[in-house]
Formats: sequence, structure tokens, C-alpha cells
Amino acid sequence: MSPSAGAVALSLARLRQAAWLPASDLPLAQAEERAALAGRQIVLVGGENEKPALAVLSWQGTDPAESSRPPRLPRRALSRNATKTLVVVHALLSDPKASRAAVTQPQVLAAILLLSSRSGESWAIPSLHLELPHAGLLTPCREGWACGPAMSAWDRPTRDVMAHATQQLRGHPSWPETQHG
Amino acid sequence: MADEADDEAAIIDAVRALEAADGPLRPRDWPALSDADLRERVARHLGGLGRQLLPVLDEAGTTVTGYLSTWSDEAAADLARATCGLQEIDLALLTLLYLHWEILGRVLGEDLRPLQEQLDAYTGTGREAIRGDARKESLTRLQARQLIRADYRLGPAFDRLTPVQRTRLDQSLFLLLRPEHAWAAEIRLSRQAERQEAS
Repeated sequence: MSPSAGAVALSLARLRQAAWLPASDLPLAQAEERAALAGRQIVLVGGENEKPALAVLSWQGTDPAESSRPPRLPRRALSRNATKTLVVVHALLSDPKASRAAVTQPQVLAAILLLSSRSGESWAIPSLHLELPHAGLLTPCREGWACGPAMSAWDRPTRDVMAHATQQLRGHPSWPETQHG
Repeated sequence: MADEADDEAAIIDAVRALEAADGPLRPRDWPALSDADLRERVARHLGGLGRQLLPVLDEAGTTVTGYLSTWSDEAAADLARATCGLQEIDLALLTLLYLHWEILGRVLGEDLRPLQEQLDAYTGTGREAIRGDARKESLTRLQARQLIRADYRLGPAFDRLTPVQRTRLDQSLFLLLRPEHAWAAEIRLSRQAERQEAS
């Protein structure tokens, strides 16, 4: 029996709120259809090595274009501090010289200290522990934090923007060369 | 046929913009929001995602000046039962901020003390939990969810409350402040019935 329209809408609301859900928790075909009517799409990530596939709610095509006048489009989804932390974490995770699957809190704090000559403890730790995992961008793991489902579902323009930001960070003279592994 | 395709494109544009905007969209900027039939379809598309279209009125409360999207009342009730990533201290602090700005400031029109001073003066349950670094971190979490602004005033998330959601908030406040009142007992009974219906 097909789920009711209300049940499909609730499952999409839960997906949006949680940032990601196991794909098996969604009536996938109906949810994809509803999402498409609103310019959204469901991206499935993972699903290899007997791990369950995860669903992330994304935009069809590219994210809504930025607006030069109010209201801001798109609105800021993350705080400024979480965005800074995310860029540092992404730069560490994607550093070709280090080949990391996860980063630790000391690695992130050390990188911030080297780059800015200031401690990032007060703002980076809450971002690592709460805001970024809540947004599905990082996943806590045994070693620290790994790439989260929402990061895996980034579209091409977002990947390009992040790649550009992290390249600039890694080109900084203080980028932690010794922080391998 | 081309008109229908144009309409559908305008509707999807408006839905995407509503879902991404940090403030109300003006109907004159979005064709699908200025036309009543198209606006109805925008509302239906949002409804499919557990969202709804929320008109924003002018100060007199008579003219629609813009539109926001927000959780549907059904989705809001459902999501309120799930964990939201906020901690108990965050909810306690948010309640105090709401009392400070909304009840003392806006409703009662009192001269407000600076917020941090007011929080320092708080002597009720859990006062130790909202001091020092714990308070600072909690305020950051509330700010990240747009529940408060950088100056600690109530944030844009409160602008997205529908009349039903605002009533629920008022009822919750009443439960907190007058738990023994007869109306509080009525509210509790009605919520119990809602929970039973949902489970």
C-alpha cells in the first residue's frame, strides 16, 4: 500500500530537519516525486560495504542563486564560526599529502592556531561537536570526525567553491605541513 | 502549453527562493507569489515537503507585504517530538530570553535591564547552569539556529511561526508560569489527547 501524502510530507520534513536519514526510513519513490515538484532532489550516499545508504535532501541543479539585495538568497545555513571550522576540516581531510579519512580535534585546533596565531577553542569545538554534525556535514567516528552525508552530497559548484577555499588555505605559508596522518 | 511550462518554472523558482531566503519575498518580485492561482500551487508544492506558505502582514495586520515558508503545523508538531540537537540548557536559556524580550519587554512594556545583567540576576532553578562558558556556548548554539540574533534578541526563526504554532508557544509559556491554573490543566489534557492520536 502506498503511503499517504501526509506521511510522505512528514518523512521529507524529518529528512530536512535531520540533514540525513537512512534511505530505508523513507518512502523513496514518492518522496523523490514530491521533492522534484519543489525543485529539490534526494541524493543517496554510501551504501557500500554493507553500510546502509543514507538519504540527503539537496537542490535540483544548483543551489538557489545568490541575491544582491534583501532577502539574502541563499540564507546562511551555518554560523560564521561553523563555516570557518568546516573549511579547515575540509582542507585537512582533502590534503593530498596526508590522505586522511578522519581528523581529530587537536589537528583542527593546531591548524587554526598555525593559520591565525589564535586559539580557535571557543568557536571551533562547539562547531565540531554540535553544529557541523547536526548539519550532517561531519560524522563523529572513533578517530574524530569524518566527512558527513551532507558533505558527500555536495553539488559540483559547492565542491568547486570548497576546493578553491581549501587550496587557498593549504597554500598559506603556515599550513601545517607536519600534521600528516 | 508554453504558458503552463512557464507557470511551472515560476512556481519552482518561487518555492526554491522561499526555502532559501532569510527573509520574506515580496510578491512583486516573484510572479508565482503575486498571482492567487499560482500562489495556491506554490503552497501545494510546499505542502508536499511538510512546509507551508506563511503570509507576512504589515504593522496594521491588514496587507500582505511578503511571504515566508515554514514547517506545516502537522510537521512542526511531529518534529517537536524528535530531538532537535539543542540541549536542555539551550531550551531553558531560550525560555528566559523569550520572557525577557517578549513578555517583559513587548507585552508588559517594562524598562529592560541589559540582558546579561538580567541573566546574572536570575535566581531560579538551574541558575548555575546558565553562567560563564556554558551560557556563552549555549547562546552560540541558539544563534546558529537563528533562534536569537547576534544582539541576543529573538531571531528570525520566531518570524516563521504560524498562528497555530504561536498559540502553542503561548500555551507552553502559560504551562510554565501558571501550572496550577485550570486553563493549564485543559492544555495538558488536550496535548495528551494529541499525543495519543499521533501514536
